[in-house]
Amino acid sequence: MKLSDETYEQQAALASYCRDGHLPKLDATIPDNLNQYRRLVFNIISDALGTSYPISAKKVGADDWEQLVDDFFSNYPCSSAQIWSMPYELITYLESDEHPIKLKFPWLMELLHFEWLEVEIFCDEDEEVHAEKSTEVLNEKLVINPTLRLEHFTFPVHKAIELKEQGDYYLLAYRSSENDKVYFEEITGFLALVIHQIANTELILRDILIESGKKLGITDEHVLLQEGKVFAEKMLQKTVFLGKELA
Amino acid sequence: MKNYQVGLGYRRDISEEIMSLAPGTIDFIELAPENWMNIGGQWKKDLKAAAEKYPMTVHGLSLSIGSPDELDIPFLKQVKAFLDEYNIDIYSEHLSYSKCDNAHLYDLLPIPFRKDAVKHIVKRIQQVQDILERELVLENVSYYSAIAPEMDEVDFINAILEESNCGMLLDVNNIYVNAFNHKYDIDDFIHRLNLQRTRYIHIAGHEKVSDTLIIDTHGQAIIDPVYEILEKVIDKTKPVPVLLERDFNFPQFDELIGEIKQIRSIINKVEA
Repeated sequence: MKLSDETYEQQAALASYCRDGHLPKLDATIPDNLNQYRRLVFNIISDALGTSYPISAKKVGADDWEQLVDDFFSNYPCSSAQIWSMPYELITYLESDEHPIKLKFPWLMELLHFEWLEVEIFCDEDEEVHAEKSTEVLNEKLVINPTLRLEHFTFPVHKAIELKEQGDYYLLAYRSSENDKVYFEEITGFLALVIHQIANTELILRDILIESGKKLGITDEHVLLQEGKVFAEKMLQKTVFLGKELA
Repeated sequence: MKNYQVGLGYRRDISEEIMSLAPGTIDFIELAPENWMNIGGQWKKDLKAAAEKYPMTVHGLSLSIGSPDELDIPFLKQVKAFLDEYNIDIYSEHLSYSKCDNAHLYDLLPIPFRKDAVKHIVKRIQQVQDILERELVLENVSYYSAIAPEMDEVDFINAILEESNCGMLLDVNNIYVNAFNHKYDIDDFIHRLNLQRTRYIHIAGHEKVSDTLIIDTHGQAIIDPVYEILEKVIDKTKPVPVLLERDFNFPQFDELIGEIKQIRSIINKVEA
């Protein structure tokens, strides 16, 4: 049975009040208590966002952050049924909205994205991985940790103390298969290209290193392979790579 | 799960303490599926370990049975997969709404106590039960104002219980909170409520924020009048599991165990 218009309107009015704080005409038995709903709901949203984005909240300052939270919750219908994933919707909201905070803090979108990566990767669902121990890394098709994200930032969000210096920052973010913690690692553009190739081609590491080197004008193949091998072995230790493809 | 077992809400803040409890201290744990579904890594490992040690019940947050919106069927199917994966029988939720006009609010808003709302919810209960292949157990929630009511709370709950085939999660703290906030008589409420449909009981603490308002916080110790309500209702219900809810402001763990013991002593007294 469909609800009557009156019941729907009362429910929608209370929900709308919780989101935007504008008290509507409601048939309430204790009108003075309605503000408790707005307070409780807003606190839940504010806590969840503050927990996911502690650095962003601190960097923009309490007033701007609270205004952002208010604007977000007033204007954006949160669609996630799981509150842990709701904070990602703040990024979606800002991407689709010309909010003044983006002009005031040009690094904010990248910082939010950086902070969200940690939550998202920590919570990533487990995936079965088919790999075996690497024995000769240069001649193997390496298997990448399924939680790995390769990210490019133009602000040094991983050094959140100073965000002014723009440039090209390549970060690996992944969940260790040893201890389930999330790690970030800054790498060079060249290594970012190598990892991108490992993830997206069927080539063995040696071929990827040589091909990537050519693209960037690196001609000393010996050094390229030697340093590439050291890097790959380090990544194997850190579980960025989980081994080689099964034969 | 045997009847009259006593459980504790499994929250991440106290998960280590719960896992290190001596056998028999608690009989089961309860968790919110929304906080654990579709998640891997450490939390998945923690959940698996908890499920190996304790029987589990789940208490959902986002079903929004009283919402004007359509039920979220993909979400319900995820809940079912979760219940099946961990072999969970009791799925409880709140007789409230937490989503409206396609926006989640992540808290429990009061459904208008109205006849059309009863019909609307009864139909949705059937849909939920069909998808989950389990009985839906709905909790009497605390509320701080009724909205456009045509009947009182107890008539509303009874109408839903009588017109649907769902079970009731009787939250004894919410009885206390609502009786205080809305100035009704607890004994009369209990007398009129259809307790035969009780499948499960919650007990918790609350916060009195003014002379006229109590907020259902699950963040304080249980007070004696709430224990007294527990004693009154379990004398009138069939034996059912009883759960201590504590969601934040966690005290020394011994204090929670003390509350568990007090719940057990009330059950033993009534059973004797």
